[in-house]
Amino acid sequence: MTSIRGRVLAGAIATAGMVLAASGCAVYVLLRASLLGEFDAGLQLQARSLAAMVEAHVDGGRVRYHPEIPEDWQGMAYVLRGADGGIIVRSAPAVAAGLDPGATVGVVGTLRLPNGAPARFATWIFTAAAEADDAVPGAPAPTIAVTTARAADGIELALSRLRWVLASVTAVACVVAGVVMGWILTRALAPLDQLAERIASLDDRSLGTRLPLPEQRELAPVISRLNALLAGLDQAFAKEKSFNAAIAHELRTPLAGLLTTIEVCRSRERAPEEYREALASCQAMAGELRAMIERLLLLAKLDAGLVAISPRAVAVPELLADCWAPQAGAAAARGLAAHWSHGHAGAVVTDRECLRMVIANLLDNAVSHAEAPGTVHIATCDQAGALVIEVRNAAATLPPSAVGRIFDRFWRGDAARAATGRHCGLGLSLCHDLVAALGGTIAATSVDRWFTVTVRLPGLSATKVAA
Amino acid sequence: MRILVVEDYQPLRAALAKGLREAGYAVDETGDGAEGLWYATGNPYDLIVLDLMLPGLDGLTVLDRLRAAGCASHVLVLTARDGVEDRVEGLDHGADDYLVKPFAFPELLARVRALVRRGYQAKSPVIHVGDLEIDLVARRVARRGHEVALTAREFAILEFLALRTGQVVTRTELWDHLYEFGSDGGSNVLDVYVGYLRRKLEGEGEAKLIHTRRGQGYVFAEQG
Repeated sequence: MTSIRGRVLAGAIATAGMVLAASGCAVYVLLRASLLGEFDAGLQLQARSLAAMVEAHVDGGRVRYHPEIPEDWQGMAYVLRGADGGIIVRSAPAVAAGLDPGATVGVVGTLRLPNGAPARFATWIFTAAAEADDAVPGAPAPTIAVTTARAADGIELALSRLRWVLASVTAVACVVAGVVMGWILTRALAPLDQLAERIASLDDRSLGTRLPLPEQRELAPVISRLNALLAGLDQAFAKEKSFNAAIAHELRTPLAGLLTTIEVCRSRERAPEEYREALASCQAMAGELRAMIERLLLLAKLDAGLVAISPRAVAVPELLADCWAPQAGAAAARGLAAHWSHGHAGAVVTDRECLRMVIANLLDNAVSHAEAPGTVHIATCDQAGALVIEVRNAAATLPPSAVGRIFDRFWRGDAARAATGRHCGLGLSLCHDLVAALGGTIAATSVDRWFTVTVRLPGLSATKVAA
Repeated sequence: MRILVVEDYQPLRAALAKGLREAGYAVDETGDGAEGLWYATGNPYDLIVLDLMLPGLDGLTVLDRLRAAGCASHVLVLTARDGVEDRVEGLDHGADDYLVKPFAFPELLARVRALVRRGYQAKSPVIHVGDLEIDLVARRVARRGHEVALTAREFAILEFLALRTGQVVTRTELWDHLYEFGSDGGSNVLDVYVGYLRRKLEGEGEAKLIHTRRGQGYVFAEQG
């Protein structure tokens, strides 16, 4: 695992090191050039001074020079050479230092003395002024090269010290930069450390916690997103908890009924009729449990995307009639009649079984909860290429908050719960998930004592199919 | 003893009512919270078995309103909510006991008996009055060690009288605690049952235990 602090620190130290090294190099080069320039200028000045002391005499075509320079002038090492390369004069220090005129090629340069010491030289080439009486008209003026040299170990020592100083300064500056950057980073990243600690302290019991927005602008979007995630998780956990509690309740109540019926029945000897009655009651309760478990399993499958959808042309009016048939008896018993209105007589390409479950649940819901006596209105039409199925019945108007939760699992119109078993609050939720699996939408309204559920399904076909 | 069962799941309510009746209790039953509140405030139940998730009015609201109305009946909350918070909430709203579904019916009966006894400040399930011994759990009666066979109704009357030993019990109280809502019965039905009891408990030469206070009712005591 890499450390942001470590990487930033290493990067900062490397950058500081490179900048300092480059600066040091530049300073070194400039100082060296300046020192050597001044040194060489001194040598050249001396060479020119020497040149000023040289006279040329032409005697019978030969040029003679009269250097009036003492061989140990100013203790300098110098060499004067004539145009033919011959040495005119060579000072005693030059001889002592072993100054080789052949090694002094160029205007300025370095050379190594016989003793190994570094030295620098400068050469001045000039035309010696000839005596006027001896001058041969038209003859070229003789040229003389004056080379002066001096040991440069002082400069080399100074430059060596300069290199060490610059290298030491660079190293120390890197260390100091590292320490300072480390301190700055520690302070700058402290909010991240605090955030990490707070996040580490979160668990499933503290999902209601919201992290305070930090002063650091860079962290604000992270915290905002984190808080949004926490809110989402909190909501999901609460929903899951509520769902589990609802499942527990819905399963426990029929189970309690089943067990109590059996225990009471077994508490004494009874007539066969009483046993038959108890068994019938147990069978009914077991049936309710089975239906609920099947619905829960179907919901779980829908959640996991495991319900296979096999689209084919489905004749909707016929399917509606098929689904109404099992409800007709209960509807008649409650004084409810069905009113049909088919604005679309064609087919829809969808999964027949899924659509059948949706319609069966909607009609069962309407027949169970419609105000009786009354009418359950069942209508179909096409809207923009989609099939619309509408089931409408009279019922107490629900508040908007209740309508918004109508497709929640285990939600029932009565906040204090209506009943368990068949109407345990899974039917509309199942419809919602099934319609979604079919690629459609479902909506509910409760206005002026009319409860309406509208299903929209894609895949409308103009072809009428046989039921 | 008279019990009100408020439970919205009909098969469970029916089984509870049947089991409690067979255990010798008079049982009124309803599946609606508001109706349960109406029953409870209008009748002196020895115990109310109350579900929390009810249509009409939820169980906790029923409890709140009962206690606010001064109802002294013991309440046994019967619910599928099993969380500690749920139990604490139920008890804090005035419930006397809490039983989570699914439950064992014998346990429910034991809790019912304990709560009924508590209503009459009787800690022991066996009541002794003179040489008479009444076992409220086994529902057996013995005098001088000899078992006395009683019908369910006779035992219910004796149980109520014994739990209020030494106190005057009016016929109305007997009727209210032993008969279900809407029961038909002549004014002398109780007198008939008390007569049966006397014949079975007070044989020749045995001390009278059920004393009549003219114009008031009955007193169950060793000495009248």
